[in-house]
Amino acid sequence: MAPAADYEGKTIQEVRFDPPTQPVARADLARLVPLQPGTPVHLSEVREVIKRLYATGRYSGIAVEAEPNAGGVALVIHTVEQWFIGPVEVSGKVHMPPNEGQLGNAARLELGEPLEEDDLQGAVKSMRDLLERNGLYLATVVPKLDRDSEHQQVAFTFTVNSGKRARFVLPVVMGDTRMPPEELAGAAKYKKLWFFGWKYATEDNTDRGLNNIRRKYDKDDRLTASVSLDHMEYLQDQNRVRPHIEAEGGPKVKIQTDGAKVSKKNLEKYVPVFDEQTVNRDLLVRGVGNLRDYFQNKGYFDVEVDFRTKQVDPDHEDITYLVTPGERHKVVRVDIAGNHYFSTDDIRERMYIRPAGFLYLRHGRYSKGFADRDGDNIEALYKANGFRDAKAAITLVDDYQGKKGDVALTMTITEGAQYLVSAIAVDGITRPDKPQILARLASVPGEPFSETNVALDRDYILNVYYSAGYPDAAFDSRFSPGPGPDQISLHYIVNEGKPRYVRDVLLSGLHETRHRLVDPNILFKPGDPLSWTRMGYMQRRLYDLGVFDKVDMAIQNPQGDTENKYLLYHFVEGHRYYTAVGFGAEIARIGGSQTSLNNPAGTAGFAPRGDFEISRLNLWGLGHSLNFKSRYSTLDRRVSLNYLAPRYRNVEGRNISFTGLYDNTRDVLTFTARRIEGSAQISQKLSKPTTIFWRYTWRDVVVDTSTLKINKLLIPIVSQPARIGMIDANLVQDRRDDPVDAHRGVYNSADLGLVEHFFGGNKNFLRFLGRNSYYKTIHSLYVLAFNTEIGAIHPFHVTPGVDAFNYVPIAEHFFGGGSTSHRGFPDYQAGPRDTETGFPLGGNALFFHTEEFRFPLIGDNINGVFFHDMGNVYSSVSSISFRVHQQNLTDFDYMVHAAGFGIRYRTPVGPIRLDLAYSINPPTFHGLKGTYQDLLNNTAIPAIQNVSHFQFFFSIGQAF
Amino acid sequence: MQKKSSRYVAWALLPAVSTFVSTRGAGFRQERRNGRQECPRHIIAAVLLFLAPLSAGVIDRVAVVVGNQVVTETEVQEEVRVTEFLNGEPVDLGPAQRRAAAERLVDQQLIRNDMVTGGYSQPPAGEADKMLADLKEERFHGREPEYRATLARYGITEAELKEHLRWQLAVMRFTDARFSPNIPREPAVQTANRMRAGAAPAPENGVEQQLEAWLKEARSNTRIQFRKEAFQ
Repeated sequence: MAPAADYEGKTIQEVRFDPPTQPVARADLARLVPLQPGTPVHLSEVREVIKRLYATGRYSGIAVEAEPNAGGVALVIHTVEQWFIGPVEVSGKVHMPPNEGQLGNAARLELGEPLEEDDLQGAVKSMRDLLERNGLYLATVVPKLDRDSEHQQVAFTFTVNSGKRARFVLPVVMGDTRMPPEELAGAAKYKKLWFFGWKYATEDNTDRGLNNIRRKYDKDDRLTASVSLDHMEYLQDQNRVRPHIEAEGGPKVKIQTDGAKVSKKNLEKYVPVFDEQTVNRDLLVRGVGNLRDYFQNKGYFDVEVDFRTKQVDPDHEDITYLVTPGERHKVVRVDIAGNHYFSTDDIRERMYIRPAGFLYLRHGRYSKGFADRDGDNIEALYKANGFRDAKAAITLVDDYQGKKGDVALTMTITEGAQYLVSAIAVDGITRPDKPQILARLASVPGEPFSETNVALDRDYILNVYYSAGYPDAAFDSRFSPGPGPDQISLHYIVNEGKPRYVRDVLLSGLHETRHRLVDPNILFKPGDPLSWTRMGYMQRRLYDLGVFDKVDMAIQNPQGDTENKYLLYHFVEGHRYYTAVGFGAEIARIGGSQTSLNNPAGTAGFAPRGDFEISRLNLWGLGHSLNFKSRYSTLDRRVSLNYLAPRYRNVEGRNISFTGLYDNTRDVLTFTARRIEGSAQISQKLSKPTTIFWRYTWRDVVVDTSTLKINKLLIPIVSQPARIGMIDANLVQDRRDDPVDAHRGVYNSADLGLVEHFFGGNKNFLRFLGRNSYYKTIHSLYVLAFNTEIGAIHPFHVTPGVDAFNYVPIAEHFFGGGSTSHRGFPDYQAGPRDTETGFPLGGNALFFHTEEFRFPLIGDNINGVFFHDMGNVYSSVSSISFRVHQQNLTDFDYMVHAAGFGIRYRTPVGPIRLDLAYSINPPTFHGLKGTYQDLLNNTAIPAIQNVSHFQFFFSIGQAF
Repeated sequence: MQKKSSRYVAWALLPAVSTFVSTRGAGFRQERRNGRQECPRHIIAAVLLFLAPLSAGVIDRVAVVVGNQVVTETEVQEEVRVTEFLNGEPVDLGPAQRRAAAERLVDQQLIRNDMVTGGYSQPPAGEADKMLADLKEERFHGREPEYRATLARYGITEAELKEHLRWQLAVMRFTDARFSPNIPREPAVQTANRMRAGAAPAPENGVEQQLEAWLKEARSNTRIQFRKEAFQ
């Protein structure tokens, strides 16, 4: 470097940049480089110029050169621009695993970050490593870089050709294996069964092989065995891989209990030696604690657990947990004492310890671990509300009220003084709305002090700044004793940082998707404050379009000290086709021969079914979708085609759909109907829980006369083709906490439809169906649930000579009863019946009301339900009655009651449900014995039939 | 704040401060981030190639990158000169000395960043003046010409020296506030501890060790590149 001091004080003749075009805006450049011709050179100023320019993040190198000339010096600022990482995409023939996303992640090229020299080389190497870990040794990775000099950004495209995947050969097992290495090599199971050859050398298969060896050791009681992959040997000429596995067998460790039985599964769960694969005193002591908790939780509160280790020989070690269970107890009471600030219910809700229940927790729930945990939780609750010295401890009284084995627990709370905030000083906020910000702080002078409130204040203040484009805002808090007793003085220090603005929004990765879909969701324009909050919101909106698997979001040059920054959004489009195939079966009272008249109320039956679905997503690049569904079962044959245009005209929550349907169903035992239907629907979300649907439907329903099991005189009327043209509006309000298994909240829906000749049909009627469901949690464990449904069909302009009931096509009647409406009936068996055959005809009105009491039964996953269902399907609205007695064998307009018990087993897809119902007053009615032909020939034998008192239902999901 | 004599500061310095102000050992350290070598060789090569013919006229350039900030070559030289002046060592601008000075400047930059973020206060200007006066008195016994001549021999100005002393004071205040055993690293936590009756005091750790640990952590979280051309 030139002797810089020689230039100190010389007059600047000229300042120029090399290259002349700079990435920083001219105005910014003038601000950052204040060196002016005619002024003297100060090296300290030159230093500051370099620092300021570098701090913009847009340069990777800066040097200032002085060129002496006649009148002084010319300063030349040499710069090298910094490139930034842009979108990373992977294409080519990629055989999974790994998939394109995993390969992209392996590149470890972070969007928006400065690009370093080794990054590309490192990315290719990481990708190759990942491919090789999955047996793709012949893979090629060809990077392509597209430099966008306007935005100093480099886009990476890696073309990957996976090549043929290598398969395993027998692994080599090394180390102090303690078992024959060849036996361990075989245990890895890298070879498929019989003659199917060797498995592919994927990472998952490799890991599975190692786990198989671990399991082999476990079976041999070598619990401390360690198995790891040393390296993979690639046999190039065969394209095969030989894993070299390091295995240390360790001694046989036998863990058992003495004094009480503990299953092997529970030992593995509670003694951490099994998980940690090592034996040391700490783990054994932890095992003691866990086993103590286990026994105490089962009612053995006085249990004593210890352990004894014995070295049988160098290859054998015995560990025995000595358990003295003592007497079994039962938690009969859990009391709370000393609480003033919080109610007993509030505290009880937060406790894990429970008194014994009738079925659930028959001995209660108590252990020292649980007691400590509850004490900590309650203390934390008080401390969060200013009771900094609060203490909570559980004491135990044995043989409570002289009854041996009964235990009463008392949570004794010593609240102590409640600390109050004496004053809050907030420094560093220069915004004009500071008073408004301060007014919304959770910590308020005179109110209880809590660190939770301080955290809330921090989040609130930072959110204000982040939203306003101060991404570097920082918050610090300090607190000290206040002037009075039990007082805290708070001091908040806010470092606002510099405001940042959006220079532009750069989108990448849109191959199929049109900008027309994405652009309305771009919420920033140049000059807007760079708000993290808004960026996150925009990212969510883009995800909500439903066409992207991934939306990466970043600020280019995040650390750079530039006022205006590029926002980067990179999209990974989702797959365009989706297919699903499913098989299942229904088991319920759906049986009965199609030609038999013997069981109008159904018999237990089995209906297998298969489903196939295919969807084309992101149609036209606009996020629309086309979905084809089909089902084939012994009861139902159905195909449908649906076109969905979400966010119609970019209105949030407005969807339009068109559906065509062909359906041939025998879901009501009385008949089989063929339905052709077309509908158009527009839906609009009015608020988070409320949505309204407007729908036009046209359908043509033909009842197969050869399946109609009703009075033959009525067949010509009932089997007349019906064309329905209907418009209807459906308002849905859903405030449930969990639609699959609600514990609290409410669900309302009201559907009003008008069927009129004008809309293209041959019938006229009004149709209304309303539902209200209400859920309430009691004592955090129990749920009370209520469901009420009301429906009415009101015909008008009825054809003269036809009664209102028969005017409405049978397929349009309400059919009810079954697992989701009234469990006193088999599916669709409620309501009016044919007075000759006894088969259900449906009705023009319905009323159902259900009450459920849901409670924990066994463990955390099995719940029980007591339910009471009441209601029926009625011939007309005016026939709705609360009368409980059936007046005669042709009277169906009365209220049927059923009570029962159900079990729910919690699964990720919703509870599996088994309900057993007893109908108190099921209908009895005229029926026939014989075949359909006997009906036509008048040779069927009259018989009195009835719906069974007992019904059962097996399905997925709650009843409502 | 605890009062310290200027001699102590000037010669031996607070041990904690000395580790990064004047006595950090040389030895090239290539910082890595996320396992990647950070030194952008292609850029350095470009700069070297670009600047090599001009090197006779280059008056300053990037020497070390610390996150999105830099230490320039003249800063490194100034650090060497001032430190050698304060320690009474002969002027030596060799690569090892420059490298050691650069390491200290990296630590200083990390501290400066934290001071800004944490809102730590700067010492009043008068304190640096007094420190300088004490130094002049102790080293030069009031002989101004000798003092000036020595400054000139080391190639530094009084302003640079004063700035250096002011910075030392600032760092001492920072370390006192940040790492003193009586005042915790996280003020809120300590206050809570203090209020908890009968709570055991937080384990004490030396300021120096705490500072060292903190610097190590800060370095591992920051992209640091030493440009080869500045240390040849």
